[in-house]
Amino acid sequence: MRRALALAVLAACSAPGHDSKDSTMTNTSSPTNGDLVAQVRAAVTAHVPVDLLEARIREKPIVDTTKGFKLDQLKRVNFVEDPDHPDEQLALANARAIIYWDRHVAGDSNPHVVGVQQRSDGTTAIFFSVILPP
Amino acid sequence: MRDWRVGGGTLADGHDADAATPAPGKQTLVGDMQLAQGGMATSEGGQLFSGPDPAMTATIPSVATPDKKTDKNYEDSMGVTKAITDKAMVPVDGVNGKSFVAKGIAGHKDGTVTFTFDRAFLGTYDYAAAGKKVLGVHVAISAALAGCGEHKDVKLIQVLRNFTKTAGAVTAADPGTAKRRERSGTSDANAKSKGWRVDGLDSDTTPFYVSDDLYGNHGSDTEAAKLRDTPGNWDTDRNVGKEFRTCAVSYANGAGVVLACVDWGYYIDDAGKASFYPATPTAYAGAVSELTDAAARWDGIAGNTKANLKP
Repeated sequence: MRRALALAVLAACSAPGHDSKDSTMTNTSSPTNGDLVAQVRAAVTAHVPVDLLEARIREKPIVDTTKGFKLDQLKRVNFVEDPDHPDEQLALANARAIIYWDRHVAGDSNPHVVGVQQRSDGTTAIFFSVILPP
Repeated sequence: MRDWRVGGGTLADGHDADAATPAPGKQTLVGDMQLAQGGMATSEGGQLFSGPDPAMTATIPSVATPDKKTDKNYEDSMGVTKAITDKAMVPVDGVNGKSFVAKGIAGHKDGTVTFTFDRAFLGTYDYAAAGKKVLGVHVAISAALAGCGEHKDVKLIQVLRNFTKTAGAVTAADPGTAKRRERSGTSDANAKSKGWRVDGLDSDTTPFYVSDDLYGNHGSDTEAAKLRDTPGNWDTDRNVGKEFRTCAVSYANGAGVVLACVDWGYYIDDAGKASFYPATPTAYAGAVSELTDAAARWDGIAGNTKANLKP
């Protein structure tokens, strides 16, 4: 039952119209959008340490604060709600570490990203956001 | 009305234990007296107003002050340093390093606010946070007071609007998010200065531009206020721009008095050529309607700290 529910959730997030490129699930070295989201979700569920996420996901992130990118540099970045994922937002003020990848969503020049935020209490959560120009 | 000390607790009998406790960077030795005499933020109707900041007056360093952030620190963090080195961003002739003076400030005939573009560059830089190139401007603006009487402390409020050109005429463009639309009065048919909004992140609730010393500092009659900003568009965008009004506001008399503003901005044409817009900044004394209208709109949004500008 739990497995079926997990599959249903994954399928819902991969459905056309939810994420335009989430539907292709492949096993290449460069994940597609759907594969990327699924991998990030799985990594969070498996409690993969934040500093090991880049190696786990196998795609270069835009930002990885565990690898030298300073959190301070994100303070005035225009992260806005991803309309496809309004319930999974970035909470920068409460973040200890952040890593995120471009989902390469077609039809919008603004990067749609999926990432993992490690909160100040050490817990982690997936997030989605759209980045606007400065 | 209840009095609050900015960044601290409520006063009791004119004495505040917090003020006597050394804080990192500085210790206010005469804080009690100042606090008893004024320099307060006030709360009316459950809304905290921004009053003069007691920490900005008569403070004596007691602990080594952390190094203040510089233009270079900011440029390094934004990726602008490399762009300047590579000449992907170039100085704006007639603006970079130049000053623009507003005269006759707040009733003081000889009072001046001097806006200096310590940095004004134009071009493309790698915006690391988005993994994309941005085409736009980079500015570091100082605002120095002289002869402004009681107005000794200032904070900077910046308003802006996105714009495009239609048949050569400037028209307001969609600002991109619901929060910005709310701040811009987009859905209000009767909105004044429609399209203009207080500059800040969607998550911001204070109207003041500077929230961290990487982005500048508040000012006084002995230290210029500072604002660092690097606005732009993706380098593939065309016929887009932003106009800014950067304004020095004093709360010496309670409500905010706009001492002076400077206008600046950028425009990217259909061919992808970016230019400073207007070509030369303009500085002037007093408030401009784009500021007061946008600030009034800001004040009307629940949860915001009010700019509380004097009409």
